[in-house]
Amino acid sequence: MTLFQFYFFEFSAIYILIGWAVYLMFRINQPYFGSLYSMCIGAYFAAYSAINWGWPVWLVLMGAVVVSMLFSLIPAFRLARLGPFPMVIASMAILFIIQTAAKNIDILGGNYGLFGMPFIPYHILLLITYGFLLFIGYLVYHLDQSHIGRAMDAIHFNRDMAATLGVNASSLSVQFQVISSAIGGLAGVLYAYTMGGVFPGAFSLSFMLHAITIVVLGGMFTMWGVIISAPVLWSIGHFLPENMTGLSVIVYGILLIVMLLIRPSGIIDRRLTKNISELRRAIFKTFSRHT
Amino acid sequence: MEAFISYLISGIQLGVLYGIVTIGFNLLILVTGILNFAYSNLLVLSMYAGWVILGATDSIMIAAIGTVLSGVLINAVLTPLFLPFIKKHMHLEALVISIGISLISVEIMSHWLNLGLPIAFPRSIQMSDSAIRFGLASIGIGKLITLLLGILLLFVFFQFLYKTKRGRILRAVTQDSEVAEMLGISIPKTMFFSFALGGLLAGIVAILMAVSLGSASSELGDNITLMCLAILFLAGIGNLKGGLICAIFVGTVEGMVMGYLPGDWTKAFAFSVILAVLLFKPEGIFGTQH
Repeated sequence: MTLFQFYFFEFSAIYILIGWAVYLMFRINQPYFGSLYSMCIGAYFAAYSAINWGWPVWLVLMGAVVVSMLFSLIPAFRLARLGPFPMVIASMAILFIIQTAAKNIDILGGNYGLFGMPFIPYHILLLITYGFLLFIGYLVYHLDQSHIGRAMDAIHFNRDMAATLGVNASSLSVQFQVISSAIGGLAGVLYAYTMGGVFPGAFSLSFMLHAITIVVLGGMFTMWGVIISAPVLWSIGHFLPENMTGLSVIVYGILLIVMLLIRPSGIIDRRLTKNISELRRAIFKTFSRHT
Repeated sequence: MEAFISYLISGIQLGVLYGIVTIGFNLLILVTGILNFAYSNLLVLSMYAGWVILGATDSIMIAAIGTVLSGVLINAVLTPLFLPFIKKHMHLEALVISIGISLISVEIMSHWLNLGLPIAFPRSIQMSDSAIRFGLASIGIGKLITLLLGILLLFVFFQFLYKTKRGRILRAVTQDSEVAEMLGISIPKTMFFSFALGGLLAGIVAILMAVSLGSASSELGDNITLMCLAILFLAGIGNLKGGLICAIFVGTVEGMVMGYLPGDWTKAFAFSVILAVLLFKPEGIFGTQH
């Protein structure tokens, strides 16, 4: 496996995880990007604990996920009451404050960050990453299909009506903020091990644009869209010539705008998944009749 | 004491400029319901346009007119991107579009214009050679003129809003767009007008910033956005007068912080204010008006 292929598979999986974390909150109409700052926290925790304390991978993973979840709980109850606008701004504010803190705290390496994490062979890291990807995918899928998924839909389309029907939107928001942050923290650890470390510049506003583009391009109303958009977007950034690397942000921006204008529901929307499942059922029925 | 007065005047001048930009943000929120995240970056893009025109023509007057026109044009040209979402009340999607525009404009400025380097305006337009001195401290004439012109612009804007027919139309649409439409007011035209008016304010602020700062970079827009969002949420979204009061307060505090403390934490401080207000007083000090 070449280094390029490794990075492609690894970053595709990491961005799918981040896409799912953002998607869960979009489902309840709260564009919360806490998973992004949790990714930053997870990555820094992983780098610091692996380099300075010599923690093994499994302990780093557990520690980073727990720390990310605990950190997300601090503002969660207040954030749960906010509407979409303030939610976006509040998430950005927290991301920016954490980034500034990381830049200015000496033990976190300042602008240069923390590097020198223990090397994990590529195939093992891919195995760990895709194991978690399947596990999280399974959880998100079952969450979508359960009564919680229906409650999420109700909140998305009419929060007041959902409350009348007994859905506690604030409580659900807190729970999803924590789950979303745990996924973010996990993605941060995988990111840190892939890069061999972490630096604050990786979690800038353009990173947030990347995450938004993944979800908007893939589709905000199903979990399947990000599986297509995450690898496609990563590839766009890496197939551009070296002297045009700045163009990737412009391409993301244009894709985002064009997609919102022509197909606001994204590449894969609910109608498409319904048609695909009906088609699959029809093919299966025809096939079983012939056999 | 002399240094304190100098920082105070610089802070108030900064606050007046923030106040005008915050009005631009609020105007769009009130009329169209969208938070145009790209507004400040487009303002800085107007500064770049003015700098290019100044380099090509060597005429300050033409460059000033060009800056204002580019401010209006850039905002007007981008209006159709927002209109479909405004009509369908898809405000979140409109916000995401504006974030996209903002990042594209920053990338253009940081990679393509002036090879990505900050631009510098001639010293003659800053009038930095002539300054009013008091003791060891001094304040540039350019900054004082900017302060006075900013106050004049605010006066003219509020006169326009409260004393003219077009201003009444704008206020009517902000209060109840459905009733305003029943009374014969064209909502799309008013929205388009609000974008253009926001662009006009941005163009004029671009000139004032060129005079007071003397330079611009791709990061300037994001810095202004951060401070204006802090002011917006501190005062209460859509509150024009409250926004102005908070802008002058925040500008003065920033002037002092920049004067007495290292500047690296200034933005983090602004974001902390935004976060604290959002979490503990989401309607702002003066109350939300939308």
